[in-house]
Amino acid sequence: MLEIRNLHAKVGDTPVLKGLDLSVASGSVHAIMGPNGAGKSTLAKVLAGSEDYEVTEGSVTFDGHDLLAMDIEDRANAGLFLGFQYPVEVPGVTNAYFLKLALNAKRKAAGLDEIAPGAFLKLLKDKMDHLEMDPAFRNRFVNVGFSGGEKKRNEILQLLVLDPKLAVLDETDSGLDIDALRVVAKGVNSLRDAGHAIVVITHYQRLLDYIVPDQVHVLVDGRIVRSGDKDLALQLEDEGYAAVRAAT
Amino acid sequence: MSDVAIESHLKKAYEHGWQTDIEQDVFPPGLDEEVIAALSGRKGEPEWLLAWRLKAYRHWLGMAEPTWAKPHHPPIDYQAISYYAAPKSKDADGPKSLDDVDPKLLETYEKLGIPLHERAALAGVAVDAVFDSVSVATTFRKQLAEVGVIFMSFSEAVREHPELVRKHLGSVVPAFDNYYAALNSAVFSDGSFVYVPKGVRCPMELSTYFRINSMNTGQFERTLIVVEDGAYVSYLEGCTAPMRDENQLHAAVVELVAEGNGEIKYSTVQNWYPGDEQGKGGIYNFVTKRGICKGRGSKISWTQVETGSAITWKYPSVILKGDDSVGEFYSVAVTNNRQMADTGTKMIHLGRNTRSTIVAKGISAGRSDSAYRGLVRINPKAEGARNHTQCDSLLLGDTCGAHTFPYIEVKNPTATVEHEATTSKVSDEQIFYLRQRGLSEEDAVNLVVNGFCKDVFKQLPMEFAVEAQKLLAVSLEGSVG
Amino acid sequence: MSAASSVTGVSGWQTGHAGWQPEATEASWLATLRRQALAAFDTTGLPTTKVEAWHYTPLRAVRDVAWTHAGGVEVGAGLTAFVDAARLPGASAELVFVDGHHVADLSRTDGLPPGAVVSLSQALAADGEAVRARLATLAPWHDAPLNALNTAFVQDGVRVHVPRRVDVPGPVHILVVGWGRDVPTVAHLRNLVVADTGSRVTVVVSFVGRPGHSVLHNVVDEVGVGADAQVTQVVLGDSPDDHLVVHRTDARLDRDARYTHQAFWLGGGLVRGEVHATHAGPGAEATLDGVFVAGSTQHVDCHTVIDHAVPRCTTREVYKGVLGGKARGVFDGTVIVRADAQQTDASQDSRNLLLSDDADANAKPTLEIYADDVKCAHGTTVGRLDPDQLAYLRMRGLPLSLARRVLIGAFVSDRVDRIAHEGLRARVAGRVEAALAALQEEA
Repeated sequence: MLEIRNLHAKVGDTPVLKGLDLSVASGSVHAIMGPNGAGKSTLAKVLAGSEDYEVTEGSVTFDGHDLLAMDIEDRANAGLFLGFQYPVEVPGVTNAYFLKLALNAKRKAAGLDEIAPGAFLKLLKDKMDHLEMDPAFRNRFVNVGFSGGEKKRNEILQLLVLDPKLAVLDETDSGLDIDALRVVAKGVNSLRDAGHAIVVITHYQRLLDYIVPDQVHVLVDGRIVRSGDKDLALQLEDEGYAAVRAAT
Repeated sequence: MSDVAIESHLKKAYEHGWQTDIEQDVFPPGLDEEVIAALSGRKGEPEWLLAWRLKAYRHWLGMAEPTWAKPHHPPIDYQAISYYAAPKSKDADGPKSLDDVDPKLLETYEKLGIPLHERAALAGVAVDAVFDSVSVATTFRKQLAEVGVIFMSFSEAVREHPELVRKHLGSVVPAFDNYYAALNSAVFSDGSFVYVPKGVRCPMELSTYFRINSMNTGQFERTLIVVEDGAYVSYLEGCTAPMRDENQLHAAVVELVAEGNGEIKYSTVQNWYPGDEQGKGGIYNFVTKRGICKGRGSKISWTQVETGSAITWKYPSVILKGDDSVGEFYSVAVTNNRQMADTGTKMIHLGRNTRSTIVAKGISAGRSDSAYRGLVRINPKAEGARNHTQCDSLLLGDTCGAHTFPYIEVKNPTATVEHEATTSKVSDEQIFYLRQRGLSEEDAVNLVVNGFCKDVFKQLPMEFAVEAQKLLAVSLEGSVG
Repeated sequence: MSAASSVTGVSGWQTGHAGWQPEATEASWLATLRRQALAAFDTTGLPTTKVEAWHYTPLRAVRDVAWTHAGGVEVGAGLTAFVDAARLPGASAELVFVDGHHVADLSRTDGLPPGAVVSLSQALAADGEAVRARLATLAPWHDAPLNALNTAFVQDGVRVHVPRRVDVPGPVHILVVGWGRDVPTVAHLRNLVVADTGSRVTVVVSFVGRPGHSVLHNVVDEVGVGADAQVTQVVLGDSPDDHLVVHRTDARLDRDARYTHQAFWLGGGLVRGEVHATHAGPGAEATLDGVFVAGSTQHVDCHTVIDHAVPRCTTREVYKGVLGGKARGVFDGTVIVRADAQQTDASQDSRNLLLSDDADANAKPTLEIYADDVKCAHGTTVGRLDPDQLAYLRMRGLPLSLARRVLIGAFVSDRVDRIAHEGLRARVAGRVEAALAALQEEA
């Protein structure tokens, strides 16, 4: 589903990604771990099309399309979802309205009619129930005044409603208490099937107890330096990145 | 956000810039006592009103034209303006019914989205259509009369209800109040008159649609709304003008009177021609709007969406005289290109436990300047008065300006006055986030702008909320949830 | 230092400057400056309330009086004792001015390197060109009538010059005494503060005086804060109610400079405290704290203009007013963010407490913004003591008067606590407390 080949990207004059390779097949769950500043968030933002970064080399193919040639919203509507590390506040715009707008944008891109209001409300209710969210969040402004945990849960709500093919979750676990982490994991795990792929970017093993990855990659200095199964994450926790890096 | 998105967001062409080709009765440009007498005569006005006009005119001659720090404009030649323009009518007294109205005029309003035939009209909205200097039609009058609500053009009201007009005219905005109010008092042409008797809740929205059509004319309409004890009315006004290279002057006066527990909700969507990208042409919108909450527990609420005009000076105000009375001001002012808007409100607290709320949202783009200028005054006897003011500015692009000039004067220790203001811009981060969820760049900007205005839009009656949102090129925010 | 012989003016005001004699030895550039400033004043005269910057402050009390320049004062026991009581413990230098005249016998600058702190007349005598390079460079006198008058008639003042990386340990105390004479007395002082790169200094300007005499202080401070330098200016206005105080500061902040202005206006029948600060170098930071306490018929007008001319500067401004009696308080603050001043972060806050029916608070916090990537906010509140808080304290056993004192004290104490120098903080805290107590007594 996603093929990243020799990806180089820089912010300003500083290279951050320096020849990154990754391939993610439909139905799989990947974890990307790495120390601060390794380029984890950069990878997420480059995939989503952020204009803060410049891709200098390499290619990214998503579902057979040249991802790097696409606009931000076209990537989203083609089925790429980025769960933000720091979700953005949009005052005056309710969660429900925003989700409906986003869902209809995606449906329009797929040549579908707008969703019927009743069907949308039902969908929203189902997903919010699943994430144990207070119904009041429907009418609250997007992320405005939300706690850190509420913002992350709200990201997962958007994920479930928009139902993308590929979810890239950037440090979705940071700042979450154990209950919130469990709920977030429940939401993400509900997407685990043959039609979806998930890339979890995290700093900590903790999340991976709940979302068990098929593959774990270690990202250091802009490149994947090691890949393995879920035990690699445990090894990282025990031995630290330095040891893993030294071993490569 | 890229400049392209801002550009495309802003370059919505002015939709109402065409002109109706119709035979008009137009005074030659110029202003003196004879012109005023002729205008008064054309309307068949009583002596006292002509005397009132002339008094205002003589006073105006001695007044200094205001020159303000922020909005600058070339001097206005008051002798180059025609003070009366009206579509020629077969009947001296104007059309008796819609059947007598020139079809071209009906077409004009149809094209503006204001069908005047009642069968086609917006359900629940009665319309007074003002074309240049005169009212051409007022719909649903019969239905309104059945419940005792008077809704007619100002000229008709002078003829049919002189006692009511004489009692209230100039009682809220005195003829000498300011330069433009004095000019208006001398030469006002037409406008709307609303009277809601005691205890009556007006069964439909009342609306006036102002259209400037002729060249070199000024529009000086006058609106007077009186609600008696316990009565209620919601009134809307809309306005457009053709695109022209010359600036045109619009100097209206609006007076509102609310007796005990009476309530007036006054909404404006102002979309006069704003001039072109270089700032050529456009309307000078110098308007005096003021209401008085006379009786205990009365309420006046102003809501305005200001998108048009080259220059706007406008401070819809409330004098809170009755104890427990309430004044509200909700405003969205959008400026683009070279537009200048200096708008705000005055809340004058005289009575006990009076309350006022001000929510002002300014959006500036292009090379425009937008200013909030507001006064909150708590007089010594206004025990327990409260005011809350929220002023927010949103900037699109880096060549515009946003200014906030709040004046707060408190002379009673039991008052509570709060003022908050912020200035922000549409952030790159917000736009990235929204696009990542699949919205186009333009929709993302619209969404942020619309969200910014939400507190004001929700105050508008449904029909106007829709028009306001279209004006800001936004889709239907708030239809869900 | 007196003034030049060739100063002539047509204003009625100038003729009121009886007793003001020229100094034959004054440099011609200064005489010219005085003449120009007086000519500028003559074109406008004293501002009326029609001038926006003076909207809430009529100057009748200034205009209607024939002010006289007093001659040098004789230092007697009474004056010495008075000055001693007003001295600031821990000051590294203390310069005393009585009715516009520097009193060397009561001053001391021994705690500092020679030349760092001198009177303006000493500075002119020692190196006139150095003064010329600074005087009237930061404080514009066009369209600023009171400043024009000060420039035309300036008698003396202090020049503080802190060299590169020098950290002046204790505050420099400028004690402005209004002693008064038989006739209404005016004093024009000008203080120049120059802090070179990386230096640090605290300057305190105190206004005190003898009641029962009519005095007008018109004092202008020009403060140049060099790159990475830190200047703290504390103004303590503690004059009797028959004195009028006009004090203006013009500060210029270079790159990464930090300027803190802490004003405490507690006395004076009419007070106008102006602060004009310009962010002239990126990364500069201005902090303005103000407290005013006014009762009886006092009128206190705090007027600030913060001009962000360059990117990435910060302004934090909080003014708190407590008004009783028939006092009028004014806060008129403007923050200007020019087109180049991206990433400005400015906040402006005016909070006012009204303690009596006849007190009057006017606030005008203005934002003028021409840049689009900015964070600007302002807030104003005017109100009385929170009845719920009062009730709560009383239910806990505090008598009403004590409950009020506690709450009013708490309202202003956070500003006082921000004074870094301990001796100064104690002095200000004591004076604020006394002013609040007097206000309570009145009420």
